[in-house]
Parts: sequence; C-alpha cells; structure tokens
Amino acid sequence: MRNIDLLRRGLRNMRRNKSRTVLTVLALSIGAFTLTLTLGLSNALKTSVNTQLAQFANGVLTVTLAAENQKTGVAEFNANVTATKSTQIHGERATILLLSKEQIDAFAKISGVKRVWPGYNISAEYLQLEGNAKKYIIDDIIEQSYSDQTKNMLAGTYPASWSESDIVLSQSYADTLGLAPSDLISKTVTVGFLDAKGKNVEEIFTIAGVLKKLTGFGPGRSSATGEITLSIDSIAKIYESEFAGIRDYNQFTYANVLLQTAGNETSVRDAIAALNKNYSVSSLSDIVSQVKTVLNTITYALAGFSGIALLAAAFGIINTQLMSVFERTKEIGLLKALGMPNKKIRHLFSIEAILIGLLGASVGIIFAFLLELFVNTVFKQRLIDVGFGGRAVIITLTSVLVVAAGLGLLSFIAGVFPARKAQKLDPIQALREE
Amino acid sequence: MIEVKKITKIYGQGPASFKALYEVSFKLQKGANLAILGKSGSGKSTLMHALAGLDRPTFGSIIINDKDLWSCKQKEIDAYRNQMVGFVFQDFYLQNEETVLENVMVPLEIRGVADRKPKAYEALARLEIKDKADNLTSNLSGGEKQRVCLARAIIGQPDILFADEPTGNLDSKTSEKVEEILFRLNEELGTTLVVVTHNEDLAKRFANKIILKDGRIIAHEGKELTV
Repeated sequence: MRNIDLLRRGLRNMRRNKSRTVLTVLALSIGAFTLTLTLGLSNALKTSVNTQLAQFANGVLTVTLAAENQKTGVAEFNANVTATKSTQIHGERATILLLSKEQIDAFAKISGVKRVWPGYNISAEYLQLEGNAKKYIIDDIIEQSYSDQTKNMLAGTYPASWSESDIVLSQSYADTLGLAPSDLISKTVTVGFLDAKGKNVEEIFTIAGVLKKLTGFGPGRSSATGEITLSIDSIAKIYESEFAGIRDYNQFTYANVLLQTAGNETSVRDAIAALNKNYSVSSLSDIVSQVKTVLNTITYALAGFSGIALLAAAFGIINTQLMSVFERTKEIGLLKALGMPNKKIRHLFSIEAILIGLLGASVGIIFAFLLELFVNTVFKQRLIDVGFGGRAVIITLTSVLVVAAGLGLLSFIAGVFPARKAQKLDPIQALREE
Repeated sequence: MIEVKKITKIYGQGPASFKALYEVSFKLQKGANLAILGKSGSGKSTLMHALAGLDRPTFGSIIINDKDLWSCKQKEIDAYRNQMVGFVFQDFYLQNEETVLENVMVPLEIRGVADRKPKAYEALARLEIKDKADNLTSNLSGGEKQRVCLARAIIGQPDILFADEPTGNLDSKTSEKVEEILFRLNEELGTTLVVVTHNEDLAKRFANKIILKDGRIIAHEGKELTV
C-alpha cells in the first residue's frame, strides 16, 4: 500500500470517529499550547534581557579583590585590611578587599588592555540649566559607556570621543523642564557637588545629547529619575574633589579594564590572575551566561510542566488508538486476509497516531499564536513600560517546529503499542470477532 | 495446480487439543472447480483457510504452482493472498462507511496500484452492479453486497477464487444469480474455483467435489481431482 493511501485511510478513520478524535486532539492541543507559550515567553524574556544587557559595554572587565573566605563563624577583625563588603555567597561568607590606585594602574601595563579606571562612587547635589533659575536634583551619575548608544539617543549625539565638558542628560530632565530634547543640545548646565570639606563646588558642562528614558527595571526607567552621564575624566576630577584627604581615598571596590578587542579577554584575565590569585574578574559575557542559565532553567521547568500535560495526552492517544484497534478488528482482519503486510498495518495505525499528534500540535500552536497576538497588541504600551520591548510572547518558527516535531514523535511513540496490537491480530480470528 | 499433501491442523495443546484436519491430500487441476462439502465442524473452512494462505497447517504442505505455500516467507504469503487469490466471504466483510467503489478497490490499494478505478468499474460491470459504484455498501441488499464482495475478489484477476458459503446469507433467487456469476468467472476467466458449501443444489453444479467428515476426506468425485 502506498503511503498516500495509508494517509487517506488514516484521515478517513479520524473522520469516522470524530468525537473521539476531537477530544484527543483537544487534550494534546492543551499541552502544545502550554509548551508553545512557554517557549514564546522564554524567547520574549531572552530578547528583553539581551536588549537590556546590550546597553552595557561589552569588552569591559570588572576586577575585584577577594579576601580569604570565612567558612564558619564571624570573621576576625584585621586593622590592616579594610573589609568593604562582607556577604554570603553560596552559603559562605565572602569579604571583598579594596583595590589601591597602584594595583589598578598595574592592569594598564597588561598587553591587550586599552584603558583602566577605578570604579568611582561619586554623587552630585544639583543640576541647573543656563538661563533657568531652578535647580534639579541628580539621582545618579553614570560614566561614559563604550557600547553603542546611538539608538538610545533622543536628541544630539552620544560622544564618540568624550571631552571633560561633555554631558548627556536623561529624558526626564527635558520632560521636567518642559523643553524639546533638541532644544537642550549645546546648552550649558552647572553641576553642583560638595567637596571633601563640605564646600559647594560647581562644574560647567555642555549638553551633547539627551538619552531616551530606559525601559525595564532599574534606575533611569522612571520619568522622575534624574540621571547624567559624564566622561570618565570628569568623574575622576569630581572624585578628587569629593574624596581627597579622607579615609579610603584612592581605595576602590572594583576596577574597570577596557580591552583593545573582545578577543583579548582570556589572555587579559590570565594576566590579571597572574598578578594576584585573589583577583576576581567578571565581564558582560559572564553576566549573559549566568542570566541565560537562569532563563534556560526557568524555561526547562515550565516546559517540564507542559511535558506532564503532554504525557497525559499521550495516554489519551494510546487509549484512542486501542479503542480504534478493538473497533476495527474486522477491518484489520479483512485487510490482512486481502494481503496487507503486517508492517503496513502497523504503519497505518502509527500514521493515525502521528496525524492526531500533529493536529493537536496545530490547534495548540494556533491558539498560542492568537494569545500572542492578543497580549502583544492589547498590552503593548504596558509591556514597553516594564521593559518587555512591546512583546511578552515571541513564538518563533523554531519553537513551532520543535513543538510540532515533539508532538509528532510523542504521538508516534504513544501509537506504537496499539499499532503492534493491530499488527499481531490473526486475520481469521479478527474476521470472526464480534 | 493445487496439490495438498497430508495436511493436518491441530488447534490447542495437550488433552484439550482438537484435530480439525487429519492428513488431507488431493490434487486439483488449474482452472477446475471444486466444492468442499461436509457438516459443521468437518474441517471445510479450515481446509479452505489453509489453501488461501490464511491459516497455517500444523503438518503437511500445500503446493501452488510448484511452490510450497507455507514454506514461503510471510511477505510472499501476503503477496499470494493479494495477487493470486480472491476471497468471497459468507458475511461479506464490507466497510459500511465506504462506497462500493472504495470497497472493491481495496486489493489494488494494498497492492499499491495508483490508477485502480478503471479496473474497479470493470469488475463492477462484470458483476452488473456498476450503477451502485458510489453507493455506501450499508445501503445495499444482501445479493448486491455479495456481488460487491465478488467484484472485490476478482479485481486483482486472481488465479484461484475461494468462496466460503457464498450463498449462505442469500435468498434462492439471489443465490442463483451469484452462482451463475461464480461459474461464469470460472469458465470465462479460467479462474480455479474452490467453494465451501452446505448447499447440495449448488454442490451438484461442481465438476469436482470432496466431502469431509471429522477432518478427513470421506468421499470425492471429479476428473480434475486426484485424491
């Protein structure tokens, strides 16, 4: 028998037992729907995370200095060591030590390193636009980024080569001032901060650009958050003013190491480790890898739940096909009596099982697509606000193929037992069956 | 030629075992017609099922065209049932949800023939039931069903046509018509005809007969038959 005829017979039998087929298909479609949706959610989450991580500079390593970990009890006080951070990491107490300026400068001598600068922790009091009497608070000072920020610009440019007078403002200032972002470009602003002695100091900057309000979670996502971006040199200058002469001056919790190329990462990491085995180096790729691991774990867990639904549906297929074998015993007997090989009888029932599986997958996928369309359309703005980039579900062709192929395979496996039962029927006994 | 050599069929095992056939032997010439007679439980159907490649005898052999049927591989036995043999059942075994045409085409469908409609119409025309081709078999009378069953049996142009009580479920008028068709096929197409029957009137029309009792041949007649 040709495969096309097996397929036709399979479809004919599914039509013959409409109610049973529909119920089994529905059971399968629930599993397919859940699985497709899970993969769609996971895709959307990964896309959102990747978009947000892309805002951070790639090719920059962060170096910290770890002290010996205290496994039990409270760490002993050591006047010679300044513990800046004492926390529990994987159930163990970890103490991070401060890095000296000399230690950080040593990184600059490593081959493949383009630039080194400490992790400055500065703050400012206010920002005042030229010709404007009001002063506004500064929530956060961000240092210049080495990642491409072009698409994040609302007006002006993100300086490719920062000068000490450059400043980039967040959209919230333009909104608060009631000005068009483009009207702010090239205007000057005064940034005021307190020096180490508590005296007010002012620095004047020229606005190079205005950054769009960021999406997702974290600072800068709210219209009420005032953020400014300054060059590393400007930040270093403010740091000098704010911290010179006080405790922990020129002691930093971390250092930034800019690579000449991303390909240098391994060799630079090795060189840093060679300087001191307690140096701990992390980069964006580490974060990406960790986030991906977490996302994959969540995806697998959710897919596992869908798997349980599919497993239950698989028993539905076994039941449906067994019923079919019992009901069609005479037909099987006749086909065998007329010379249909056992192999083809098995194929006939396997094809039927696969058809049910694919139909269930199709229905489930269609419903998942409809839900994707609904959620992404109705909640678009809300999704943008919470950082999902306008899409909470992204069903890709790969997801669809994975679900369809998975269900086809599952149905085939579920159909093996009934198919074998049909194959083993004796034609004479089958024909005599009432 | 069909040559049956000492075939024995035992059902079950141990003390509960039952010999349905015991050392049955005969030869039948190609193109002949044969009636297998006997009471219920005499082994008629068992013999025919063994001849048709449906039920393996416990002992003995059946030689069809110089080939031992039951020594063949399953694939060859399947091909024998599909290509060399036609089967007419007392209970028709038609698919009621399918049309007459679809039922008739099944042997060719199994054989993998793509263009099977012309042959199906030809078989239906031969059985004078072509006008019912698109009807569901559930809407047919008993005689019509048996003719559909016959059309299905001859569509593959078999060498041997087996019929198990072909008129058992039919009234006398319809029975006569089916008998006519069976003998016409035997004469016109040269198909060897083997029929199991209780019907003595039908049996009289056969040139060759064997009578079974308790699984053994107790009587026989016919020039093309050697026992």
